[in-house]
Amino acid sequence: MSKNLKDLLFPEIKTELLATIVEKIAGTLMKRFSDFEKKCIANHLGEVSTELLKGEVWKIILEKRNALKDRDNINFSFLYTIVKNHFLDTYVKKKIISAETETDIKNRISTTSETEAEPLGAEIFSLMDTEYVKRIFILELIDIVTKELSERELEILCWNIHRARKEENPFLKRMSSDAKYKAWNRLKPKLAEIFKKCGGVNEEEFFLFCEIFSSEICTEFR
Amino acid sequence: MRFLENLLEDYMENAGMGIVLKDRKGDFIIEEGAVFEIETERIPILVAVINKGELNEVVLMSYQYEFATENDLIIRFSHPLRDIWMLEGDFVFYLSEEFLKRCTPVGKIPEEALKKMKKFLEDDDSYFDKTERGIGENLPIKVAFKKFEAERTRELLGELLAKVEQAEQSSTPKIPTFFVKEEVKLPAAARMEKTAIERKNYLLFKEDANTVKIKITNYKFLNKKAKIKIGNAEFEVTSLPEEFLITLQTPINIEAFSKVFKIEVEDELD
Repeated sequence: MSKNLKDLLFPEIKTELLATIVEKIAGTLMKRFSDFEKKCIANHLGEVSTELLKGEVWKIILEKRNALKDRDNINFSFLYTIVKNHFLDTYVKKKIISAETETDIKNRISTTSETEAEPLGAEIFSLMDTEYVKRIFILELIDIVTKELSERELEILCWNIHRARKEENPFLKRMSSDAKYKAWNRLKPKLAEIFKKCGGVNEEEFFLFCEIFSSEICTEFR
Repeated sequence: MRFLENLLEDYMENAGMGIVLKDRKGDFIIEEGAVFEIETERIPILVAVINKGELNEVVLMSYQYEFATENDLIIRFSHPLRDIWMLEGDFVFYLSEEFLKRCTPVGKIPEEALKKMKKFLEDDDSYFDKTERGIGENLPIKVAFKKFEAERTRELLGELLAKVEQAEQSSTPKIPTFFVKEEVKLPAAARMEKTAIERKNYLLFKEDANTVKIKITNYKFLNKKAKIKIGNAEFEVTSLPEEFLITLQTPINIEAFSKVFKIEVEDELD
């Protein structure tokens, strides 16, 4: 059984002892956070360092302390997970669901709910949660696609996305139009196979894939 | 990006494996929708009761809803670990009241979520709406997450097996035991104690310190109304079984016991 840390929080906080746990949590987070997560946190708090994380960990533990008072056992994993989830909900989720998407969801709900008696807040939360999960899935797909396709193939995909969206198309400038179409036709089955392996995507998910792929990957080829 | 990969590594490291049950049973009523924490050496396992019964049908919950697939319902549930959870529709267990009462109740899932999960489990053609569920059940990292979920809850499947085993055992015929409340005085007997004694109509075996097993050898006695006497104590049985146990308040010397033990069957005397 892992060590019970409840004595460090109750009846009063044992600051010095708790500080060592806070430091351990901050150190573990620093090692565990991916570059993506660090970027999400940096957007709100500035450059991520162990010192910065320590301050945040203290804040989160003190905020959550009251909710822990009736628990018999509070071990390191439990405290660490509370803190990690707080970072996910506060910074990572906000980055993944962009401000525009959030506004879009709110607008969509307020328009459809005018005639319904649905609790507005709960519905917005629920849509944000599923939107978050959907976008993570798309980001994961993009990760797989970028690993499985060559640089050239990624640029071909960028070219086709921009062609389909009738947007300015700065990709594959040295290739003839005929060669670009031929290259896209060769890439299509490979891309379909990758999607199939991941369970496939519907039209809406494919559009979202194209939107995020364009903003995250295609900028590199401009 | 390695986002889900990192999350899974962390999840696997902090999730507890071995189940730790409380010594004492909690004094509460198990209700549908109730959420229980099953303690482990690290993060507890949470389950929500979906259908009450002799074995309660429960669904696994997880705070790591980033891994939610089409079979998982994303819900709001207030808990120190997180306020958003998923009900994992592909992890259903059957837990006894005895088991759940040794876990900690930590709240209830929303009524609407309970209704949706009930429907999902009852009806093969029922699916969650895309505005309330996850996505990508075939994504390799989500498959890995589900495999881990199966691993960390393997012991819960054992709970069902234990129950089935118990039911099988209880369905095999048991030897009836008669507990004699009165104090029975046994005559003096030799120090070297025997373990079995043969009488005309039955055999006596020493079962344990206070118990004797009686096996009827006269088949005319079987299933008859009988009076059993042990010294000053006596009781009646409506149908004499082939084998039965008698337990006294005090240790038994089988030889002494045999001297005061009598079975009187209608029209027959032993």
